[in-house]
Amino acid sequence: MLEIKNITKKFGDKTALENLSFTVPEGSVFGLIGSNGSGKSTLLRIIAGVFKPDSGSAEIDEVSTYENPALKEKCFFISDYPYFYNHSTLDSMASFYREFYPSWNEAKFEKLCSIFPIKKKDRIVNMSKGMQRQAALMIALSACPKYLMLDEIFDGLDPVVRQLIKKLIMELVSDNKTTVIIASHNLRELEDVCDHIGLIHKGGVVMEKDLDEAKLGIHRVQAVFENELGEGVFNDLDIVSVKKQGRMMTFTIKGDGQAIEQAIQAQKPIYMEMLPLTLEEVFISEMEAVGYDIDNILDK
Amino acid sequence: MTSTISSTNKNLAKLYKWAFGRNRALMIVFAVLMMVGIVIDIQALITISNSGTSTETINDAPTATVGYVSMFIAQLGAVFFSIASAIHTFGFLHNKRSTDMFGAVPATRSTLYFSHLLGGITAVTIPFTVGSFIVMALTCRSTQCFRIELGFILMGIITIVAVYSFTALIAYCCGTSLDSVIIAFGANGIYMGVVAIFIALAYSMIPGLAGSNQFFNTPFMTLFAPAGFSAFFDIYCTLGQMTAMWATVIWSILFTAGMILLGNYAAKTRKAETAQNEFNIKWLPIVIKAGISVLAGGLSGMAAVSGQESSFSNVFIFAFWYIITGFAAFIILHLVFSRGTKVKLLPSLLAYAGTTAAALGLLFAMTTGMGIDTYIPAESNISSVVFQYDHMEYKDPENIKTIIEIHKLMTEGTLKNTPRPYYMGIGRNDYYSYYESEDCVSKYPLSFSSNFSFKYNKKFGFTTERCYYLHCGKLSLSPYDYEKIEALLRKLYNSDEYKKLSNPELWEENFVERISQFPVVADMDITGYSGKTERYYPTGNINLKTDEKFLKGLVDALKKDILADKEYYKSRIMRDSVYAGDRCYCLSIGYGESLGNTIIRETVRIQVSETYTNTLNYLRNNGYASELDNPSFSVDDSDYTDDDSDYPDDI
Repeated sequence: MLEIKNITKKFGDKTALENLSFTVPEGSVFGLIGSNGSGKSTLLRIIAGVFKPDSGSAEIDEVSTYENPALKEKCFFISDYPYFYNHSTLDSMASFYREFYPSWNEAKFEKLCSIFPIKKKDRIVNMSKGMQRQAALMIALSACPKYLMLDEIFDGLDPVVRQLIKKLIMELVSDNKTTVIIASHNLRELEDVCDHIGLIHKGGVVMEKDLDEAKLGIHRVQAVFENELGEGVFNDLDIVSVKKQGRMMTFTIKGDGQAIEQAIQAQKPIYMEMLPLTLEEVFISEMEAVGYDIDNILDK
Repeated sequence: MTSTISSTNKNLAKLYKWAFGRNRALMIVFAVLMMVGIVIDIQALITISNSGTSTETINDAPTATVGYVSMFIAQLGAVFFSIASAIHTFGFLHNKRSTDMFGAVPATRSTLYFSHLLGGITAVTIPFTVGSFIVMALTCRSTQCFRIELGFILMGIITIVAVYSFTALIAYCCGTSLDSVIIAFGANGIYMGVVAIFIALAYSMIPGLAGSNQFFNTPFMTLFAPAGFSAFFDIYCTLGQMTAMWATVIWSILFTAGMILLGNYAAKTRKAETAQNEFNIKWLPIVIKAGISVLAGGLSGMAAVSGQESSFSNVFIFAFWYIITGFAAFIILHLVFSRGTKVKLLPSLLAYAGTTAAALGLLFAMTTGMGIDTYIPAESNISSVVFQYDHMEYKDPENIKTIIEIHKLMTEGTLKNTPRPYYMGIGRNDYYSYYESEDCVSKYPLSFSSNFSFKYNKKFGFTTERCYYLHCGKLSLSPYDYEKIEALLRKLYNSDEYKKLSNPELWEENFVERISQFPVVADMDITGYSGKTERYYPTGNINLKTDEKFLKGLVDALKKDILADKEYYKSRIMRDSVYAGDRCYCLSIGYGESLGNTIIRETVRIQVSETYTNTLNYLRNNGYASELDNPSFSVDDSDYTDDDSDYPDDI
């Protein structure tokens, strides 16, 4: 199990992560989402052992990953811009990583080489951004790590490859019981592949939940009321936002669905509908709750 | 525990292989250049062989010189490639993406450091070592040559490791490769340059330092500049300065060990986020900026003053250019390091001002209160003194005392009539020693026979050197007490030690037996001098017998006469001398050894006066009486040409 324990990381005067704590369940696909500069990539680098936290630690089975080669053999990190030397080819990179990862699966590598349109002898730096990302992922999947950290892995990939990658990630999780952490702004893709999400903002955790639970915990309700609603009629509800268009009111409300429905029904609406939220909508709602919304940004 | 160590070693080996592979291209380039150097060596050896210079001799100087020069150049190449390779190898620290890759690799920071260090060092060492051994095989004929060139190779390898670990440490301290390049090349040059500037300034202001080679020729010059380790080692080795040579070797090893330890520490503590960003050690750019500014200011200041007469105004000219150029260099470097004006200027500016103030303060102190201008080592601390141009090494305590007294008369004389801080004169500072009239040579022939150089060999291999230039005429300044100096010089040159040092062969235990065994038989002659005029002219030669028995008797008689000579100092003055009239003969003992087509020839020459009764009687008793006294021995003065070759060489 991967545990993030009270991690604080500063870059000069700027605090990237502050006393951050959460747990990533074993074998889960954990989506790390957050605003720009919230500290997602920094957190992944700390988990991967690239950065040393100023305080706290990232632990796997209660052992810190920093400066621990034995644990790092179980982890693989693909950064937002994977690095390849000028002359490196898929072959040369594979031979480099093959030696470091005891769990390296050559058959899998060969299989991936036949799936992806990348030649083993081609120079990787001459490839497009998307192709380079695919090459990095081929290496990562072949290493069969127990913990796979992916930073913006869907960036620059066409929809077909995105589907393929999601499928391969799911395969790895089911075959290898790999725990995958994906930091991304592409919430649509995350929604397909993640079972847990963690939302961080300004270096702290806003929410960390099972994805279904997260989606069930927040609801959008559209309702039309005959009369004007009185002051404080929904005081018992945890309303995140209310938007009014004509007589149609759209509520975003946190809490149990049944309780919300009952509370709305009590005001005798002419029309009422509970709508499912996408992950993106959940994200926006949660961010609005912490004051990060378009209105706030524009007001500034 | 065992499995952890084993895993670490495995990772080290894997990363070593990777780092070595990364340097393959540089290694090939260096190897090709080494091969080109070897081809040039072969060409030079063929030229030497065709020129008829025998290489089948015990003295393989021409071919060995080719080897020494080649190896010196190879060492410089190794230094350059070490810096280039280290910057390239540790460049992964200066790129955020590669930092991500290597930071996540299952290896510790120490393993990453050592693997890259060893991989890079191997890549530079292989072509250097292989190439150097080929050069050694081609150019060495003697054991001495093999020993020297082997020393060059070993020191070259030590230097590669030193430069590599030093550059690696710099790479860990820098955020970008550009900064690493500036600092790696700069740090070596800056240290040597700044030290050289200060030494040159001290030379230009402090009487006695100029021309002494003190400091320039010591390991002090390369203390923190590993790029110079092998070059200075070579200089000490070829000059036979064993103490300095071994000091360089020991310091190089200690320095390298220190750099490796510091590098490992920097690897463990370096923050990965400094890649492409900032210096990991904040004070490093400040030191470099201050160093380069001092260097640039010093060089331009010296250039502005050079070629001018010594004067106090030179100090102000120097200071003006020092500040103008130094400050310009400082600002340029500041902009380079900060990539604009983001970084605060004030701390760096204060460091520069502080360094300059400290440097100028030190210089001022050196020329006034620190006593460097009047320093003479304590007698008890001196094991020997090399005095004057003939490089004779005096060990007799009485003579050491005499030399110290001469030196004291010079420093006291300098202090008496000259202002402090002293005038500044680039090149040398010798305006204190002018004698007021032009008859100095006739009045003080011993004093004005050469410059006064003192080299005190002290305990533990330390040395102190001073050199004073003396001039006749020009200035009315006459600070030295030449009466006393002349008297002390007479005392010194009348000592038994000087007598033996001036003709050391005569006092060799088996001198006669040795030269009698040479295939080229010793030849001897005695030349008569005209003692009637101020100049003494050769008047003719008597060829003497060369059999061992005769020679032995002659040498014994000569030794007796020399030791009994109360005015031996006169024989020191060979030309244009008031003493010439006393010396009536010159005895030459020549001997040589045939080596192939070459004859190595040595000659011992002794000035013989009428007081050398043992020698003259011995010659008379052995059948040369009539030749010595025969007037036909004289030659017509009109045949004399003022050609130096007619005179015997200096002893």
